[in-house]
Amino acid sequence: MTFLTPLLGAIAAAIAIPSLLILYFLKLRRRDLEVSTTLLWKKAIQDLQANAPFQKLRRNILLFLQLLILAAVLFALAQPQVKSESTVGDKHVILIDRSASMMSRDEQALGGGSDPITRLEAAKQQATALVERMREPSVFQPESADEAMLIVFDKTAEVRQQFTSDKRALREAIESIEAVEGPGRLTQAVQLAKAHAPRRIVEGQAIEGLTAGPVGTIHIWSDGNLADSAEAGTGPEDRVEFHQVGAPDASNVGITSLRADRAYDDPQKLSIFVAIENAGPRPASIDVELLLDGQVSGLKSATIPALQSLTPEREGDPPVRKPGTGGVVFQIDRTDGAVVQVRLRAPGSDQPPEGDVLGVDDRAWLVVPPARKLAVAVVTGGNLFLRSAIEGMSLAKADAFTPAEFDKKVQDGSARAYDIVILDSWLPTVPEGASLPPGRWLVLGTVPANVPGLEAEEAPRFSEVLFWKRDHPALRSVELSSIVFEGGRVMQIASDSAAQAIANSDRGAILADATGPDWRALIFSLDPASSRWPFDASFVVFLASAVSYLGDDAGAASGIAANLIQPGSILSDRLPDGATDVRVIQPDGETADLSPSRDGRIAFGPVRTTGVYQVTWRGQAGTSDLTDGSVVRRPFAANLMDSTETLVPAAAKLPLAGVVVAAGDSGRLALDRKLWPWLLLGALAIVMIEWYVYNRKVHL
Amino acid sequence: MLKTTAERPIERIDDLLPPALVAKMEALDLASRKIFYGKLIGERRSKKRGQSVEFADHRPYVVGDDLRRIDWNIFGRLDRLFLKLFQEEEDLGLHVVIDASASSGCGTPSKFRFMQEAAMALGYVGLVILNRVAATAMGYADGSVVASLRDLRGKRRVRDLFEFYRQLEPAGGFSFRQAAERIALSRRGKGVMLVFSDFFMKDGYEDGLRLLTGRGYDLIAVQVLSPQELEPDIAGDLRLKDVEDGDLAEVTISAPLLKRYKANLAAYTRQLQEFCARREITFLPLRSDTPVEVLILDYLRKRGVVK
Repeated sequence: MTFLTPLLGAIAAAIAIPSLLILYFLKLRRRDLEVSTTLLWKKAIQDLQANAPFQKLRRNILLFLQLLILAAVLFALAQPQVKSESTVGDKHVILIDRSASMMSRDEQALGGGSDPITRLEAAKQQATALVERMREPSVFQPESADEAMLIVFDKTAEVRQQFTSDKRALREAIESIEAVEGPGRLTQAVQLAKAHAPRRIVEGQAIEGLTAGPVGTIHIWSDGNLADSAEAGTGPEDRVEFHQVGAPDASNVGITSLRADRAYDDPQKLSIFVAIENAGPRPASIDVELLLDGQVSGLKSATIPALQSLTPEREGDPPVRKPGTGGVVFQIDRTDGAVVQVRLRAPGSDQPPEGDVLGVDDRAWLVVPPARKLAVAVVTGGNLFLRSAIEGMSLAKADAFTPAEFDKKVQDGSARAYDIVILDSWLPTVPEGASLPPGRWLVLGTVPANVPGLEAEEAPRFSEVLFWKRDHPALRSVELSSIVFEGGRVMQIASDSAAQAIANSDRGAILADATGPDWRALIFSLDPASSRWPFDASFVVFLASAVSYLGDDAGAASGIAANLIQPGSILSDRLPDGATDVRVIQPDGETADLSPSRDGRIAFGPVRTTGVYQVTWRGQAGTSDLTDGSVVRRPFAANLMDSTETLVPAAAKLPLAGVVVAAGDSGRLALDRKLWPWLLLGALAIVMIEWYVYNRKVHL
Repeated sequence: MLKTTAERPIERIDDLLPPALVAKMEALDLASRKIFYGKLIGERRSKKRGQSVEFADHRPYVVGDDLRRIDWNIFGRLDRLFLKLFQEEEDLGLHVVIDASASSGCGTPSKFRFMQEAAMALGYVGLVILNRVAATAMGYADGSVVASLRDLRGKRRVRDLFEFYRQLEPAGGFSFRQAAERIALSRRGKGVMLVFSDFFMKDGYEDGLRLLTGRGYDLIAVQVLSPQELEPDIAGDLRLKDVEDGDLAEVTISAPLLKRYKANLAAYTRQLQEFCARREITFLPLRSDTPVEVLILDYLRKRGVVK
């Protein structure tokens, strides 16, 4: 039990209790008294009653006291305040997890209620209870009030309410939290909380980076399913309270991965891989339903083994939980692109799996582009390696031209029939000031002129690749170390250039991803033929990745599982040049207008819910985009697909960087209601009744 | 006002009739504004001419008169027969009525005790001067409306009178009208009647007093009120219970209420006084803490009840 304003309460009691005693003595406990006759008394009372309204008020000490009480009560209800200087109250930082696993419906409402509520709802109620328990500014010490700030986190963290003692603002901020159907990460939230620690003040100046003590008590409301909690840098001086929500034995089955692949030799054959995890204590039998563009196209049954708990390596650590894994593979024949949806169902029914507390991970979407082969032209003076590598790729067309032949095709426009042109140490003739003709180019061994912000210079005699972006789609699985190139050129790329360096030697960039007004190119400024690279397998991989990357408008992502995002992150993409009227249609049907940047990049979000997001625009379509008349459509699939979130059983302990925090008793708080308004009202009612009864009795 | 809780018990005659008072009362006599005829010759001048030594008048002799009372000196001088008439001294009835209802038992000092003492003193005076004394208690507890002792004469009967009063206990209620009827029917002769009561009668005192007036009796109404009735010293929230009929009145004592009560009491007493004045009843309001000596030697003497 806590007192919000104990001093005030004590003072009130010191006043109220003696008053009550006085009232008690004055109270109507009629003494019996025998008199010779009641004749005259009755007559006197009757006489008094004749002019009662005025007699009642005359020197009636009871009424006077009651009026005083009434005045005091009303004054208290008005919550009077005065200003003064005084001490500072406690500080609380409320961190509420709003990740997908918090949507698990396995919590009980505070103060009863039969229907289970989500963990987020429970966390909100408990946090509200904490806010309600905070000391209020008392009449005498306004600064002694507790303060709290509210941070919500999923993949990122966000301050919803700065430190305040305004309970209403805190309540409203807590009430406005909505779940994000994405993963939860604690690190940023803790950093954000710690950033609000008071600055150390030296000679009146706040010193950045030095704190004058802990930020206050950090309350974390979560189910403990936070993949990065061990990296959350709480210090030994931080007071952290972990309020666990959710049941430790909740069961859930969820999709943790969804992938599609077309057979290399036969792109028409589409395989869809669904990975499923079971976080429940019992093996789960489920039906996996496949929908293509909303039509049910397949159903497979699977049984996923139960969750295993392994003893931790170190004493005191929480047990290692290993969900049961399983999966199904759908094989279908489909040339066209499709939006694939996978749903988990209870066997033989249209209901979600039995006992499943989390619905978000029971469905997943995937955008499968149409099976399409590219037409590639190689313009080379006779590079055998290049020609044989291209011929080995599964392409619609692979033609080799000499520079003279291709220049002619550029002039008559038939070069546009090729999706991608590989230029081997040669550049087509272009008008003055232009760098490349329209199209997509893989330039090897030379550098086009007039690319803004890109300067080429002679390379030293021997160059080695020092650094390359291993996550660039064109460079995945490409090994460039220990390959020495002779001669060639290097590029100096300005930061505001339309070109981007993706591989560097010690003298400058050697591979650039460049964009022009009507062309896109990967420029490799060294000559592969001058090295042993063509003999290396990674050369073929590079060519294939580069061709696939240039042939794909997804830009950052390539391959068949493109256009995948996770809620909590930002939907970003690159649209073809000249795209206008760009819109995002969200899963719930709402639309948002977007304006692409100069190079066609768009960003939307962070997205909050899972489902299919459609980016539509007017203008040129990419290779895998769908077109409805003049409107181009590019779907994106937002899925949870996070093993940590699917693992819904609540963790009793939260391992942080410094310390393992066990869920306190406060994990299941009893909601304490404020009784004083009711007490006040009751007192008021009693005073009224007493007054009424008193008057009734006097008048016989 | 309040019911008397502990009163000094009456054991000896001195308790009701203090010797000091007796000494002072020896010289007293009862008086009546009208001098009535009595039945027996007593120590009282009667309007009747009689056999006393005091000469009153002469009247002519008629046949049948007592020859011994012929004034022979007149006969010798005038040769006519005249009778010598003397002032006759005769007895006077003294009837003391006290209210023995429960309400009389209230007050400190008790109204009833005061009435006992006053009645005893008056009865003593009456007996000493050979008057006919009757003692009546109204509202007597055993169910009868009145209890009485009558035709007492002479000092020897003082003890009887004392015994009568001693065994009285105030209890219950009574109908004043019925009691007055009984008393009026049973009394004989002429004399003085004193009625001691608080006259707080819910069914009214008018009928009773009306019945008791006339028929040769000089009526004196003595209203005895306790100091607590006159000046209530109660406070708080009370449930007042009538000792006679158990009637309840819930009151919260406040200054206006007390003021009102006193005004009502004064009005009640004034009404009674006016009623008495209209019917030639001597009215005498008394506090129960008045010394009996003062009552007998002062109040009653001033009003000519005793001399």
